[in-house]
Amino acid sequence: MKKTILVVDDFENTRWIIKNSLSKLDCEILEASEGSGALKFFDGRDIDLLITDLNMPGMNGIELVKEVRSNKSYGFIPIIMLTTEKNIEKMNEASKANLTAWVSKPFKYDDFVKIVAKCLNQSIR
Amino acid sequence: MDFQEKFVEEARELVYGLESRLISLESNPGDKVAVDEVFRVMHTLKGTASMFGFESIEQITHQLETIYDLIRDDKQRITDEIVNVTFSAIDIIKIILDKTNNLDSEEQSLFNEVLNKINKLGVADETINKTQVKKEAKKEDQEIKQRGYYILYKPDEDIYFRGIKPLGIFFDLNDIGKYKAFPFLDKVPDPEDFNPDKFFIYWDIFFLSNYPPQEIKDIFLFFGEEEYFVYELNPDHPDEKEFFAKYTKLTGKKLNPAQVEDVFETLKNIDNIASHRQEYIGRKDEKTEKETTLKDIVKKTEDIVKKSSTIRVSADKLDYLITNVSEFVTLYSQISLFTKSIENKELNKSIQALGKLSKKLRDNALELRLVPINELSLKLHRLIRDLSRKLNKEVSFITEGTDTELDKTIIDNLEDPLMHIIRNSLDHGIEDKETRQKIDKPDSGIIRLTAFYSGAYVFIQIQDDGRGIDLDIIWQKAVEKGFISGNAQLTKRELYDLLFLPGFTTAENVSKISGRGVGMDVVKQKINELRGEIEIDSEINLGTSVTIKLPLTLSIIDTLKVRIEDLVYLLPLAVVETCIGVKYHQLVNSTKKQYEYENTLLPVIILRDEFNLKNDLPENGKIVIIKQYEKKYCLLVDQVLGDHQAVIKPLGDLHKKHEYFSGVSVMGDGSLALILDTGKLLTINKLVHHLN
Repeated sequence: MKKTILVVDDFENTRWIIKNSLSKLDCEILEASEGSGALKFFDGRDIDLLITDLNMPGMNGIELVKEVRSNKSYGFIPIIMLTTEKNIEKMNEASKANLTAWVSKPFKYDDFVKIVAKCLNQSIR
Repeated sequence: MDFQEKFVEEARELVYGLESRLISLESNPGDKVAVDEVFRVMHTLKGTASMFGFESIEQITHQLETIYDLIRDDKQRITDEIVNVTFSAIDIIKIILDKTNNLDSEEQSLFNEVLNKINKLGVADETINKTQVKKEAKKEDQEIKQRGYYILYKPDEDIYFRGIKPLGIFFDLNDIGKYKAFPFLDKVPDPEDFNPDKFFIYWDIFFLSNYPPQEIKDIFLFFGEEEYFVYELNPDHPDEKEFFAKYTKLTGKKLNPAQVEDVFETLKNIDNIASHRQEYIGRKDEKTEKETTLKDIVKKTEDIVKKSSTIRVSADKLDYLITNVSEFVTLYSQISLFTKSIENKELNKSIQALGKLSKKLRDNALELRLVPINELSLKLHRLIRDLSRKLNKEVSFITEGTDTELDKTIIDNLEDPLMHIIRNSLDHGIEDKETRQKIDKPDSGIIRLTAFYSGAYVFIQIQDDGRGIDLDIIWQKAVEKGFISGNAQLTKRELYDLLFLPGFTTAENVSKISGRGVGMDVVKQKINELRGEIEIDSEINLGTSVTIKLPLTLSIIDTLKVRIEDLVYLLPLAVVETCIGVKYHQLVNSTKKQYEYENTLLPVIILRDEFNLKNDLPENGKIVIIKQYEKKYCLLVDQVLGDHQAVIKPLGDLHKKHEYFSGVSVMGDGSLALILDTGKLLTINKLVHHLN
């Protein structure tokens, strides 16, 4: 079955880059520009992997991760956080939110795809 | 049958199967299954031949067996020469079998020649290859060296909340090596305190792999430093003190070198589950490719198994069975007719059951005679291979749908016509390399054999991408020979049909290959004898296609009984789409003679008119919609009576070429019913053009 990846980032360009770099994996890719919009996708859909930015207008990445993790039915999906953040405090906060992986921008294309593939492979669903 | 005959029959079959293997081997020298098969056949032949007085076969197969044994063990590569010699060996074996050892002097010298070639092959290659073998063995030595790892894998209690499946690691390890894991359950709480959202198990993993430590660590990409520990140690002598000290420190347990060595020893003996690394990205295609080849091999093995689980029965016995079944079917329709007049429920029930049974019996019996066209295509393969070499033309032979099955008699009778058509294609159709290059065609020509079912017929098409047939030349020749007058107006189709006239040949000079006195007229005659039809179509410089249409079986078909005036006619049920009631004069009196069905206007053939019946029209009639060649048209009849299993009897010699009917069948009451040829009705009425 085709896996579904939800990509959340407020910049359309970033989403486009992510989408294109993952085209090899033959997944369905959904897009959202911020947290609350992303949460809507979880109703009635099986998401296999969440890739989210940290800083976004509205609900930010960490809030989104907490929201997802607190849900009984889809709380166990792998989550990759993608960010340019260098602020140690924020990184600490994020790591407490139970991320599967942390990728800092700008990332190397090959490494990123490798991580995503591994996530899909080792994920619970 | 005495023993020798039995051997000859069996040997023939073996040799025949060998040819197909060789052809596939030639196109794909890496085909292990084929090599095995060739070896096996040689081996069997060698073993049995001398027992039945065929020492000459033993001589030939002995050396070949040795060669294929070497190939099997990768100690010898397959060369064109080997394949060629094997082919000539097969030919000579065939001759020996046919003549039961009594070779004439010419054949004897051929035998000696082949034997010489084979012997040379064996001697020459063995010396060259010894050095090669040595080199390869060295290579293997280097590859085998494996690394041993100890891994402590201790996922965090909250691993689930990070979206990770703890057991996923084992799949990844399996991809790049072999592991043995020992779980520790001491952290697992008592049932009353158990929390299913948390994870408590951890493992000792011993891992054997060709990959460096960094690759192993990469597997644990999503795990923190405290969750795993990888240590490389020598799998043969895992007695490093440092390691065992560390182990005790990490787990609080003791381990001794002998135990570890033991584990690695068992690991080494396990067949490599998946030693090649499957990278997630990029190599995906390679993986699927690998799967298909594996499937192919499985399929091939299955095919071999299938082949061996068949019984050979003489064709006479089968024919006898079919005749009896045909008579049974006729008898059944008689009985069922009687029972209709006797209104007895019990009897009717039994008769119905008998009817079902007779249908099954008929189908089974007919199926017995069905043989896949494959059998023919192999012979054609061989023909093309030999001929193209002789003519120095490059040709690839493509077959499609060769699992299509046809009656054995039809297949047997098809061999000569098909061979002739292909010879023509190769000789006159396909151009030589230089000519092809000049007109921008690929060097290698293509001959394609396609077979498929349509309705109650099987179509066999032979296409080539050669120079095509020039209609002007046909025209000139036909006028020259007096077949047509100089001012005749002929359609394309009619012109091509001229090719089937006796004594008609367009080839400028009769060559050795196709000019053997058997012309297309004989081909057509043969096909007609099988109640089939043949058609040629061609396009200059694009190629020629010959289409043969054949009935599925020769003897029994399902038909629809229809009535026109007092007579009953039969229509092959396979081409009948549906029946619709209509008012007769509406159609007869309208000028267009068309009927609207599913939003399209279909042409109507009024059979009453075709048969010139002048009686008064009945009020109601039935439209039978016929689907032939993917085209539909309507037949107007008086009444539809139901279905009937018809045992087809050919019309007598005088009526053989009748336009409307393809045969006749005896009905239950002993009367005769004519079987309408729905295909011909279509062409006679020129509806083809209508429909196009």
